[in-house]
Amino acid sequence: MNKSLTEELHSVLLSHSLDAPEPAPTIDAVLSRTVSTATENNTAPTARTGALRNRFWRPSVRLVAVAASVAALVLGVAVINSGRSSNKASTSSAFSNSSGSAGSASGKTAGRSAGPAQGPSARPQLHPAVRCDADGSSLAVTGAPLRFSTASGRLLTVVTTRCKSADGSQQASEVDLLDGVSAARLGILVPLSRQLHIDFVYVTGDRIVVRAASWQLGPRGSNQGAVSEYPFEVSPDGSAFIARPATSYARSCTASQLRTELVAAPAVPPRTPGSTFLLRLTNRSPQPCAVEGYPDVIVERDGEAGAARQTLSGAAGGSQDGLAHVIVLNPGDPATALLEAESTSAAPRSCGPATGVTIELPSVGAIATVRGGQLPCVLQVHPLVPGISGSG
Amino acid sequence: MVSTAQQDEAFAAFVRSESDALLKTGYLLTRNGPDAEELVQDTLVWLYPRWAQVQAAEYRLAYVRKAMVNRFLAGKRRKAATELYLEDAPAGLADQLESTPDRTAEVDERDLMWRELGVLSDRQRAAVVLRFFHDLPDEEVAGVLDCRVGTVRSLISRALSALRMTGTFADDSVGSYYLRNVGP
Repeated sequence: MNKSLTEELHSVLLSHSLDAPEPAPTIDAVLSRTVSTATENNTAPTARTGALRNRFWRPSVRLVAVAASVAALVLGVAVINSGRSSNKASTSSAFSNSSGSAGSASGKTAGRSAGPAQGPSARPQLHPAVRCDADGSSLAVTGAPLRFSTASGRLLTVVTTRCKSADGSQQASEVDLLDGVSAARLGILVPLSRQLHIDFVYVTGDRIVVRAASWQLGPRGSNQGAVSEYPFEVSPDGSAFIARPATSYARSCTASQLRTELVAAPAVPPRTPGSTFLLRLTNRSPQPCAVEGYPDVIVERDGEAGAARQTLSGAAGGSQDGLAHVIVLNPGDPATALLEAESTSAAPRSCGPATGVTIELPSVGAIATVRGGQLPCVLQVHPLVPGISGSG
Repeated sequence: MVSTAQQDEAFAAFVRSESDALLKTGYLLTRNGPDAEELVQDTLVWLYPRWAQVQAAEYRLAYVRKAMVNRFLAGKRRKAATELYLEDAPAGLADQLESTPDRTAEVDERDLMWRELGVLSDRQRAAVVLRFFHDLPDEEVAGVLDCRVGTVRSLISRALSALRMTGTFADDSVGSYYLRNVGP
């Protein structure tokens, strides 16, 4: 039965409100601009916080700040002059150019970056380690840098850092643009707060294109979303970039788009016959669609249901790079997850035959129900990988 | 008399406890994370020197929310010219939808409705968020938007008329009430 318009509206608003940014950065930013400035005032403001503070400070405080700035400026000029007198002119000029260009580009994401402020005399901000979360439960995996040159010959580097949980599931990703020579971060193309899962990044002409999946909590707890391409246009001298509208590339696969097969894997030593199965999903629709992560495999046996443990890899294969990737299935393309017996040193447990196996995908829901069959007593399942082998 | 330290403490406690709720509202209004963060930060920083007034209010969160909605509508959140954010909703999804009547259809409607919410005017969207996310009665929505109750009903009815196009919905008394009252 259909929901009413207002029920559906409430539901849509509620589910999308969950996409709101995490509050911690906002709390820190607000308190650092207000309460802590009143008491400490020893933290260098970012360009943006400085602007905000100037807007909201009372005149008397502003006067003090202006006076302090003038004093600092006078002092700074004196220091620079003394430095110039002891250094060669060419060295001084090179440093100033370098810091100037990095500063102008990094200003693009000054409001989002958590790094130190970049004043006129600040050193360029080197690419900082991406902090996936505060409690350390996520791990950061930095991919191979993508290097390219702009039209004017400036060398730039794009670095992708994927955050993942212990089982390799992607949580969020950050894509940074760095100066190819100094490794100074020029800007954040994709911040962690966007919660995007990166498929890959490529460069075409003056554009950096990030292909990424955006999942959101859908009905009944499933993840729904799409893989989109997010283009960024880079200026010829590499000093600025601008985000262009994203275009959808593939939406999450639906059950009706997928052909699901569960087949016993060939008994290749050291595998024991009947110990390994291949769960193969093939896109049978004329449009590309996307899957990511682990299938949920729930085995009913002796009147009880148990889920296969989700592990990155095992003796029979699985994910070789420690990540559960976004997989775009073009029409006819397969993706495969391996199911295998848990490698236990103890003697094999005996158990009754499976009376039913339900296979679900987070982005799809239930995709298959298998009746009966001899399955190992303790199963593990590995993430989906492209192709038919279940390893990659 | 409340000391500055006590006021700071109250402000900090409010920021810590209510930022999450404010960000959710901000996100529904602005439809992207960076703008929501900026709107919330901007509002709270603006209210900090006026915190005595906030403390005097009966419902502090409602007071702050009103200030935030007003700042959103007044466009006082000056988006930094250099700030980047990604497009929120990938364009063109609707064109790729299959007509298969499986559970995905429900999600498609939700995507369409979310996108249609983005097409509404800022005032319409603010009215819809206050009415259907915060469950505020029309009178309170009018108080937040500084307009008459009739104006709120008109804003909502027009918004619902647009949102109704995104799918097939069962009748309900609330929706019918607004849709009957579409203004000229």
